[in-house]
Amino acid sequence: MRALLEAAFETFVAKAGVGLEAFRFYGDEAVAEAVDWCVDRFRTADLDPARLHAGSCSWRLFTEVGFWLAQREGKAGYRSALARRAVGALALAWVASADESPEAIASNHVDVRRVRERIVGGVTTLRDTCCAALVGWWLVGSARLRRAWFTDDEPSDLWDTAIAAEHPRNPKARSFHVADALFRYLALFAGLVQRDGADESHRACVQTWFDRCSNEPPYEVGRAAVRAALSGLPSRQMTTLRHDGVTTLLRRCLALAELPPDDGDPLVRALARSSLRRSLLHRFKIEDAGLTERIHSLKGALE
Amino acid sequence: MTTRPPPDPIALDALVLGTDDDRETWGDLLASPRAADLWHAAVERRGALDDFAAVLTAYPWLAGPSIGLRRAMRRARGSAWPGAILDLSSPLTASLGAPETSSVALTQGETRVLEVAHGNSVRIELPAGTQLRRLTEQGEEPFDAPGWTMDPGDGVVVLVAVRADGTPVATLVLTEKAVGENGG
Repeated sequence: MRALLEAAFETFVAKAGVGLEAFRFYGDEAVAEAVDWCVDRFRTADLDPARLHAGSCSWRLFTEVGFWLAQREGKAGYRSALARRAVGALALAWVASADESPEAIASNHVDVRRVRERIVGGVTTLRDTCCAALVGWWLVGSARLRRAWFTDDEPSDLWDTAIAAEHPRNPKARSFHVADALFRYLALFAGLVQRDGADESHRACVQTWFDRCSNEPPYEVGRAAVRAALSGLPSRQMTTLRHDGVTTLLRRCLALAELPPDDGDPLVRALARSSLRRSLLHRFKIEDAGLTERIHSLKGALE
Repeated sequence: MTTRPPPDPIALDALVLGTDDDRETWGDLLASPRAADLWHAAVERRGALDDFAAVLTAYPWLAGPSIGLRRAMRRARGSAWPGAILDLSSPLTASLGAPETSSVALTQGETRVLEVAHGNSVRIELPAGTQLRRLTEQGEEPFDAPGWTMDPGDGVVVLVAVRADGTPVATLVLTEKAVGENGG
């Protein structure tokens, strides 16, 4: 327990540069002091496992620095301490953007706060359904969207760099990961991923690309696990099925992007138009000239 | 309106784990042009912590020495150490014509966990004035070899880079890589 706490506090304090003064741990050995406090807290406090996050009911709890600092300060005090350390902290307010991109146009018709909540909900769904690493690739591919909806920052080199990185060409794998993450986010956001009652090809697709996977490429469930979930389907048949499933899912996403402007959910349409890329076809080894052309014709498919 | 600064590493870790999905914190992240880099770093930090925790769970004897090493390495931060280079090589990729080695840096004060497949090796290039010691359940011993080739049954191999005066500056934990199915 001590060794894990020591490793965790050292990771965030000594290496990531987070100071512990705001949490009343001072001195050269603030890490050791914090570890002692956490161990004492664990011994004396009545921690209710039922109130812990499911993933925290294990040794991992002792690596979660945020949990222990919230124990020390109380939830409100913890948030307040984080906020005090943030420079120039101000409440997020309504965004009025001059951006005329499809997503920004959509945002003019919807309460921006609600849009933000929905987008954040999509991110947590992607993380919980697949893995945290894919969220990182979604963040790469969504810079323009995020600038339009989450900030009114003036143009800056940082944003220019982030937006330029949306369409990575090299290495190719990076382009695949970004296209993949945007696609999976969209499919989940639009409610196109069904776990029950779907046809077999869709189930094969969902089992492979919309289930918990590791944070390592290719961010998908291993073949053996997918085959087991599909009643021991032969390997070749499973490959064909999931390929058909993901191709159909892509067609359905494209159909959302091609809806007339006043038809359907404007946010879903805007996301669909900015989330589908040709490199997605290469990522999933889909050879279909018609799909290539349809994606190419979408405004925003710039790669 | 001024955009708030992005979340700090502790708050980001809670977002990565899903233990505290505070909407304002998410908003601060998504409002940052550096969001992707910050997130990738947070995922990497979490992965390193989980890897270390998995090693400790499998080899509990490492807990005590680990605390001592970390504290000693923190105290030694005052004097700079240039770092070591770890060259990882795989006889399989070499035979397939792929790049034979990949390199990663081992920095001062770091405890790095690396999974090494059987037959693969890690060669350690140390700066002048630094030696390796091997930590075992029975204690510490000198280690004169330039690296380690992982064989079945090796379990965990802990190598500590120390200065001439014996001060530890970095720790390398090598574990056997489990044989798993392919992802494709």
